[in-house]
Amino acid sequence: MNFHRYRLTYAKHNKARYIGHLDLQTIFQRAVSRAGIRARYSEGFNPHPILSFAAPLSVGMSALADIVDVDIVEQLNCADIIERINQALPAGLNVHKCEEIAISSKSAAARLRKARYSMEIKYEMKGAKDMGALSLEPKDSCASQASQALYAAQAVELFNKSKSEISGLVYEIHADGETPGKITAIVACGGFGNLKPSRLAEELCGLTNVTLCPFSTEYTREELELAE
Amino acid sequence: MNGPFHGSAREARKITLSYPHEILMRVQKPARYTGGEFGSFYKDSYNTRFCLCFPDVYEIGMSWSGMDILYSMLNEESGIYCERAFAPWTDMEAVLRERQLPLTSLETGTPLADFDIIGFSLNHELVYTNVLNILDLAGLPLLAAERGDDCPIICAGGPSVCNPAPMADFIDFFFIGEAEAGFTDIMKKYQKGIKKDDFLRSICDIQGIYVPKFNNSVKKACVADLNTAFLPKSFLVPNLVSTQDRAAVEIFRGCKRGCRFCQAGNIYKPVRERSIDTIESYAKYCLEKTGYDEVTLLSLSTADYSRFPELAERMLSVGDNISLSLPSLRVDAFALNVMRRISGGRKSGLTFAPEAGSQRLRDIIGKNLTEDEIIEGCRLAYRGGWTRIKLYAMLGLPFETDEDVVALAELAEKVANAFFRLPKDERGHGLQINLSASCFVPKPHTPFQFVPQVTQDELRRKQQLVKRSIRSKQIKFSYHSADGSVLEGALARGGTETGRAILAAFKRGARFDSWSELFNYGIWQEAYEEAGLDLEAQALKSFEYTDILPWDNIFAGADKTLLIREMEKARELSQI
Repeated sequence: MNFHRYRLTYAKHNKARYIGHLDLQTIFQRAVSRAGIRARYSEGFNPHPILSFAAPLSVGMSALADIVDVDIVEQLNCADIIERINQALPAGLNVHKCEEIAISSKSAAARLRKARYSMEIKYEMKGAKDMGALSLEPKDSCASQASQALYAAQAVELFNKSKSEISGLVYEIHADGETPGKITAIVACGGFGNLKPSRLAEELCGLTNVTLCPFSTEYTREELELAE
Repeated sequence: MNGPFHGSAREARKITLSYPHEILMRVQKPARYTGGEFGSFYKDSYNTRFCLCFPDVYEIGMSWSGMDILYSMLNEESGIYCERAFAPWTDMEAVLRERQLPLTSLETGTPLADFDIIGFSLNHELVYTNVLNILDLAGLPLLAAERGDDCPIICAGGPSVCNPAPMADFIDFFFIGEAEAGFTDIMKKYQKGIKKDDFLRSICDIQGIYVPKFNNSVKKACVADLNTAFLPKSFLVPNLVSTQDRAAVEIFRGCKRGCRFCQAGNIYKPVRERSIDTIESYAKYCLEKTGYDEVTLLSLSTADYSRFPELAERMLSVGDNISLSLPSLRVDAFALNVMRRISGGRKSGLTFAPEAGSQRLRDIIGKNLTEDEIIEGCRLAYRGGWTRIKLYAMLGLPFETDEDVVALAELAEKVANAFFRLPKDERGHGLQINLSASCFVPKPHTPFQFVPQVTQDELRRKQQLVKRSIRSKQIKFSYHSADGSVLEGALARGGTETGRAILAAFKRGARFDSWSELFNYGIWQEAYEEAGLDLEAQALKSFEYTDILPWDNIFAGADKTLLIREMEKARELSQI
C-alpha cells in the first residue's frame, strides 16, 4: 500500500501532563481517527493506526516538543494535518509542527540520543549543607553566579567520573543562578542510554545534601535530539 | 463562547487544574481527577451550575452509558453548565483530608459546594457510602434537613432509586425513571436565589420526582419512543484508557422476558425498540465522533431484538477496522455464524446464563432457557471450534433445594460431556468451563421482592456443595462473597431507617463497598447495630402481600398486583 510518513512535533502540558504513555498512544490513535486522517493500519485481530513515538514521558512531566511519526495513506498538506489533529486532541495536547519525511528514514525512536530538560527542583534542607558541589541556593553576588556555573560543570564531570549508574549519561547542566533549583540539563535519552530527569534531580540533591521533594518538583522536556 | 472546545480554540483558554500539581503527583492515576478529555464542555455564561457526580472511580463512571446522555443533554442547554466529579480513590481522599482541600469538579476545579445542584447516579446499593463521602469532602452537611438555602440542592437518580427510602435522609429530591424524559426541564425550573423548599415544591408534581420531605407518590418518568428520545451529539472520550472504551448504542429498552428475580427487566418496562436505521446511523456517528474502534449493542437481551438477524447483518458492515461486540447473545447456529464473522476467526468465550441448575428452578424463577438449548448451543459451538464456555448462575434462589444446587454442578458436567462425546476431529482442544455463581438478592419492584434472602452460612454451604459436586478438572467454579450480597440485600429492601446505618457505616470508614479489597463487613454489622437494626435480619426479612413496602409509593413499571400474581405462579411451580 502506498503511504506517506509525517513527523509531528507536539506539546503535552497542563491537564495532559497526567496522561500515561500507553494511554497517550491510544489517545493519539483515536484523535487521528476522529480527525478523518486515513492512517495506515496494523494487521491482525485488532487493527489500529500505526503511530511511532520517539520516547515515553513519565506521568506528570510536560513536553514542549515531543515527536511522533504517523503513516498516512494519502498525501496531505502539513498545515492541514496540524489543524485537523489539533481539533481532535484533548486539552493540553497540541501539535505545532508537521513535516513529511522519507519512508526509508529510520524511526525517531531509533535516532533519539539526547533530551534537554528544564527542572524546577523543590527541596528541603537536611542538617549541615555540603559546600562541595552544585549549590541550589541563590547567590547574592555575580561572582557566585559564575561559581554556580562552574559547580554545574563540575557536577557533570563528577557524575561522569563516578562509577554510579548515571555515569556517562549527563552531557550538560546549567544552573539558572537566580532561582534556586532551576536547572537545565541535557541527558541521554532513548535506547542507547536513558536518564530520567527525576533521577538526575535526586543525584543533584545528593551532591548538595538537600532532600528532593519528588511531588512538587516540575520537569519539562524541552527538546529531543535525534542523530543523523 | 459556550460549547465543547477542542484543539486550538480551547488551547487559547485558561484551563484550570482541579488540584495543584503537587497534590496530583501524590496519587495513583492522577488523570482520574484532571478532566480535559476530548468532548469536555467549557462555558463562560450559564444560569445553573450542575455537578454530575458518579459515586465510583473515574474509569467506571466514564464507561457508564448514562454519562454521555446526561452530560450532553444538559450542556446543550445554554442556561445550564454540567460538570463532573467522581468518587476519589482512598489515596486521593487521604490527601484531600490531610490538606483540608474540597472535592472539585473536573472541568473547572470548582469546589462542589459552589454548585447550584449536585446530582448522583446510583447504579447499585453498594455506592451509598461513597455518596456520603463526596458530600463530606464537599464540606456539606450530610443530612438534607441540616443543609440550608446556602447549600446546593442534592438529587439522585439511577436504577437503585426505585427504592429511595434508604437514601431519603441525605437527598433533597429523587428523579425516578429515565433522564431523557424530563430531567432537563427540572433543571430549567431552577432560578438563582430560589429557596430550596420553593424549588422542591415547584417540581414535586412532575412525573418522576420524589421529594422525601413531602413523601409524595410518584410514577416513573419514561420516554414513549426510543427513536425520538434524546441521543448525545458529543461524547466524552476518557483520558484513562480502559478496555471498556467503545461506542455503545442502545437497541431497545425493557425486556421481553419475565425473569422473576430481575430488577432491570421490571423497572425498564415497557419494551421499546430503536429502529435498525437509527441504530446503524447512530453507531457510525458515534464511531466517527469518538475515534473508537469498537461498537457494542446495549440492551438486556440482544437476541430478543425483533429483527435481530437483519440488525446483525447491517452492523457487521458498519465500518472498516471496526469490531462489533454483541453481549448476551442466545447461542444458536445463526449467532455462531455472526460471531465467527465478527471475530475474524478468533474464538472468544461463549456465555450462557442458565441462572439455575435444574429445569424446575429455572421454571420457578421464570428463566426461559432449557437444558437442551444450552447443550445444543454448546455442541454447535464446540463443532465451530469454540472451547471456552462461561456459565452464569445464582445460588440462594427462592424455593431452592439441595437437588437444585447439585444440579448446577451437573449442568456444568453435561456441558463438559457434550465436548468429550464429540469425535476428536470435530472439536478443538483445551476445554475450559467457567461456572460463576452470584448470590441471589431480592430486589424491590420484582415478584421476588417479598421473599427472604438466605443466610451467609447457607450461601456458603451451597457454594461448597456445588464445589464438591464438580468432578471434571475442566470446570472452574467461582462465586461471589456472601457478606457483600447480604449487605446489598439489606440496603436494597431497606426502609428510611436504613439511612442511619449508612451514615454510621460511612463514619466508621466504609467506602467503595463493591470493591472486595475495601469492603469490610464488620463495619456494617457495627453500623447497623448502632442504628438499632440487625443487618442480617434486614436481609432475611420477608414481606406479606398486605404489608406496605418502603417503595410502595413508587410506581416503577410493574403493578404490585402483577408482582403478587407472578410470585404466586412461582410458588405454584415450586409445589409441582
